[in-house]
Amino acid sequence: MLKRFRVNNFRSLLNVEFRPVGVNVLIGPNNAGKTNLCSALRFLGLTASQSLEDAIRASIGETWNIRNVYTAQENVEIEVECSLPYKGETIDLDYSLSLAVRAASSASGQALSVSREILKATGAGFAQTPLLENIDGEVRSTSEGWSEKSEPHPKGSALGHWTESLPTGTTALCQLPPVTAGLAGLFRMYLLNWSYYAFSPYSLRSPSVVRESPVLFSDGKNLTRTYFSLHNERPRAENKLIEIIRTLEPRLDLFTYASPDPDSVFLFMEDQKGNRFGTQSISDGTLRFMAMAYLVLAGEDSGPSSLPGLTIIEEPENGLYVGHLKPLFERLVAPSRKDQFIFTTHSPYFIDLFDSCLEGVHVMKPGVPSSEIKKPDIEKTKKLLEQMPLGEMHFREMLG
Amino acid sequence: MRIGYCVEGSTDRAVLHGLNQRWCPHAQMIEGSFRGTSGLSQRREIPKVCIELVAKGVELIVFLRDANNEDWREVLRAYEDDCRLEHKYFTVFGVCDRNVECWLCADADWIAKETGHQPNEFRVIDPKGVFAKAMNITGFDRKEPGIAMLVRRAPLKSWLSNPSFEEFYNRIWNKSKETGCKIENLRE
Repeated sequence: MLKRFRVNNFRSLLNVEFRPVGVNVLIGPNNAGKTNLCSALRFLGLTASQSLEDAIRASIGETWNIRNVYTAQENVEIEVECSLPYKGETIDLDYSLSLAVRAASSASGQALSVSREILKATGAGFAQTPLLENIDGEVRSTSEGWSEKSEPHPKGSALGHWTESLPTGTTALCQLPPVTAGLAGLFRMYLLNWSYYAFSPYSLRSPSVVRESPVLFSDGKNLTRTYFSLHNERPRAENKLIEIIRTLEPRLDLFTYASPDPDSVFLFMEDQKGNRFGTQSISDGTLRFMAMAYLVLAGEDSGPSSLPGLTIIEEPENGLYVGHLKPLFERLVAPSRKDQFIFTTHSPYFIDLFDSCLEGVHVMKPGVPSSEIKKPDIEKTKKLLEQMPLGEMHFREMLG
Repeated sequence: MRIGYCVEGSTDRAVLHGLNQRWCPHAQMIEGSFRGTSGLSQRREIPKVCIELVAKGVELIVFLRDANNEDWREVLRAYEDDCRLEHKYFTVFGVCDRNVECWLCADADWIAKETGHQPNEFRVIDPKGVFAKAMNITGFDRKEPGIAMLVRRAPLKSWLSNPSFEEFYNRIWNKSKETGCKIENLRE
């Protein structure tokens, strides 16, 4: 579980510390920095599997203005504290990443390189024990996390069991051998479990390429592919999905697919009378609901032994009838799920769902040089809840 | 001191800011959020605005709205009825007879001189359109700072000829006595 996330000098965020609980909502006006915080989280998650350049392109869509424009600081800093299950115990892992930002030689904006990367463990016999240290590409690691060549060492020992020079365009964590036992591998697996979604109807409607991954993309571009995969490989899961979607569209009988060429696949909703509706005939809200329903199903189907994940969903209420919001939300964040959730929203109705979970409300405020993140005064808010709902308080700027 | 306020339009807001700058320049003005404009929403909104502004630490709340085509005294009475008892003692309601432009144009000679127009143009039942034209108010530029500046130097004694302004002034005057503030005595 993510306990603390600190980000410094990343777009509008200067030394911003975020302490999430299980289910969180980020609220605030436009340009307050909600998406930047989500992007920073997403970026970190992606660095576990991609180069820094690919990760930054995927998370913010450009390589310009990675740093805060109002400060002369050179480095982007990210720190994470999380606790994860490890051999029947809970272990705390601290990861800090400092990235040097420089103007790229080509016209492609700014380039990132790792200047410092440290992973430490506490608990289960460890006490702030460094597992991985990467200074400008000079990597040192203990056997717990990195090398299969090194000798076993007692828990808590210092670094120095294994060293190597690695390229700085990618984190050392990302360059771990794919099947790596130990704590660094565990942390990497945890970061790989982070997912980010900001669905757009345009993407949700696009015909999917069969070759694409059956794991839902952040914009929902391969929704049809994910449904098609369930249809072919997990018909029981598909039935569950249809049950969820029937709460919104009771006429839905089944999903059918057409694949005019080996590459693409088109999805159709079919009613009890056999009428077929393609994605162009399905409303934006229904498509968004279908994507959310997939996330509900993915969460319900995750195994009990799997690592907890972090799911970030931007404005999940978009296009949805308010009556569908609460049942969908409650099913998505069901207590049986181990995952953490971070939502961003502007909808008072969605914010109202956090009436009984005020610890998860985080208010972001725009500012120069930096956005701020604040938590509402819980006692005061509880008192005010007797007079008006949480969403109303947000509208009246009484939170934070 | 913090003064909360709630208005329906930009000209009303500008007038309140002008009065604030003139009478109580050190007070911080905090606007309450008003959702909807119907009579029904007003009943719902007034207590919520009061709760909001109290939570933001204001010591006085001023509500100002236009009566439009209704009797301003009736509107004022209904306005006060919608306010909860616990909020009444620090709340001042103002309702403009027809609209706030009637206050601004109460002294036609002065406003004509200020805007470079003829006084007769402002001697009409509803000067809203004339005032907007004279101030060059558009959908994109409501000229709030300009209107507030006008109010700072307006001949408020002449405005007392408008009974709805007189009522509003009396209430503000009484409230200033209660809170120990000093505001301009327009009757001297």
